[in-house]
Amino acid sequence: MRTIFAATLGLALSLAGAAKASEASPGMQRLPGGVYAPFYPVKNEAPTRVEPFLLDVLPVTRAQFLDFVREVPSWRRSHVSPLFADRAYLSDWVGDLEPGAEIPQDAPVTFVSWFAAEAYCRSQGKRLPTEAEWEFAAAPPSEDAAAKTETERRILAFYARPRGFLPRVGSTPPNAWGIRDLHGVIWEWVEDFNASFAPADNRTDRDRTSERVCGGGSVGAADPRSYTTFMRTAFRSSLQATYALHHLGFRCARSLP
Amino acid sequence: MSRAFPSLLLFAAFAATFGPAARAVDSSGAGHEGHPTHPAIPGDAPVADRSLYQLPGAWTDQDGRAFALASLRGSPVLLVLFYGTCDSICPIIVRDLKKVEAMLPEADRRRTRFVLVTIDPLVDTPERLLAYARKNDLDLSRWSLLNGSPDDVRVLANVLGFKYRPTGTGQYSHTIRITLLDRSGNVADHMDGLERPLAPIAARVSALLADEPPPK
Repeated sequence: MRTIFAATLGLALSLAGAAKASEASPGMQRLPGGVYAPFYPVKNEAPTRVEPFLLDVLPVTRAQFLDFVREVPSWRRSHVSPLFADRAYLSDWVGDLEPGAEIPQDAPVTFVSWFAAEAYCRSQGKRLPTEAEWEFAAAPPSEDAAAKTETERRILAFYARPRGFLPRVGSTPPNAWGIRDLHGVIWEWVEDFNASFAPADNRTDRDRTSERVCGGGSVGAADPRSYTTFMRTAFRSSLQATYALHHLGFRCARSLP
Repeated sequence: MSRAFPSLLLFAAFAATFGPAARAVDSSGAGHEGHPTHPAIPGDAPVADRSLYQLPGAWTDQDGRAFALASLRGSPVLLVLFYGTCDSICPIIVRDLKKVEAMLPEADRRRTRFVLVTIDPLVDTPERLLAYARKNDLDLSRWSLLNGSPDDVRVLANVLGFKYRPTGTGQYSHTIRITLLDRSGNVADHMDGLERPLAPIAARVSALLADEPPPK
């Protein structure tokens, strides 16, 4: 009965376009789902339907990742297989179980490969968000045009600024869905980071050469104004799943039953 | 010198940006076994282990039986990600794999494994995989058609450098790639595209079989 009530409440809220803090999953926020139009649409492909889902409010921190590698030795820096992470993996840590005191423990963990991020989320009974979910979370529809422009401006300022250190998580204000730090702190892994530029046509033995982003051009983009989305997709597409980079971290998501 | 200078500057900038990474780089290179300061913990992969057989995941074959990737150890494996309702590329790849199978000398053929893993596990149930195997006349003494969770499939695909994306119409856009595993489960080679010749693949398989068996 309670479940039905909760589900009904959730549905009502999602219809209202609001997100709801998840009582069952602390630190996560329920997002209502909807349709995600890829910024770079492909001919004959339907827009992606995003089902309602839970998303971590904050990126995973160094302290949280330390707990994980304590539990699972095979993800410690000296144990990790080269199949799953390159040599930069956790390279800003002092030792296997010592993140070091220089960087706050509640700063986002970075220098983690996709495989490590995936394994971490799995260990929490979660998963990485899909690219569609992440971008959906990053663009609440309630934002008006002026707010969107301001957001874009802030993001571009962040992307343009080299950073020597990472701030604590939660250092940016929550967006309309209560999610923090999607912009302005780190870049984040998504489950299907390399899917955008999978070969387009099964019958041709080619990548999407003619449909690829070329230089700074965005003629094929759904909304050329969303230049930051463009940059994120380009960045993600350049990654290999073993890469561990200074400003690349992650957060987890969970499907609703 | 004047040309090298900007490159050096760039390198310096890069090194500064990724400075901490440099600390972790082990100058001894790949191939070192174990770790002096961290004794092996049971169940852990050796540091340089690149075998696919350490992958997590629970797989099910076309007969509905649990299938451990590590059970392939000892054989060269031709491994392909595919999906059953794919009506364009996948049938061509399966046909090509069968041609490679036919090219192998009988003794080598019997010692080689052919593995198809579906990227569409919710649709390609073991029953459908079995039907697919029958329709394509695959010899199940050496072919296995595997189903796993979407998460496990994504991990395997990323290990293989295989990209895929549902197009929303039941089809997928995906990389065209045949992967050859050596007898320890390490990637020996990737063969990409549809134009690649098949005879060299068969030759690679035979060469792997001609080597001494890998240490246990």
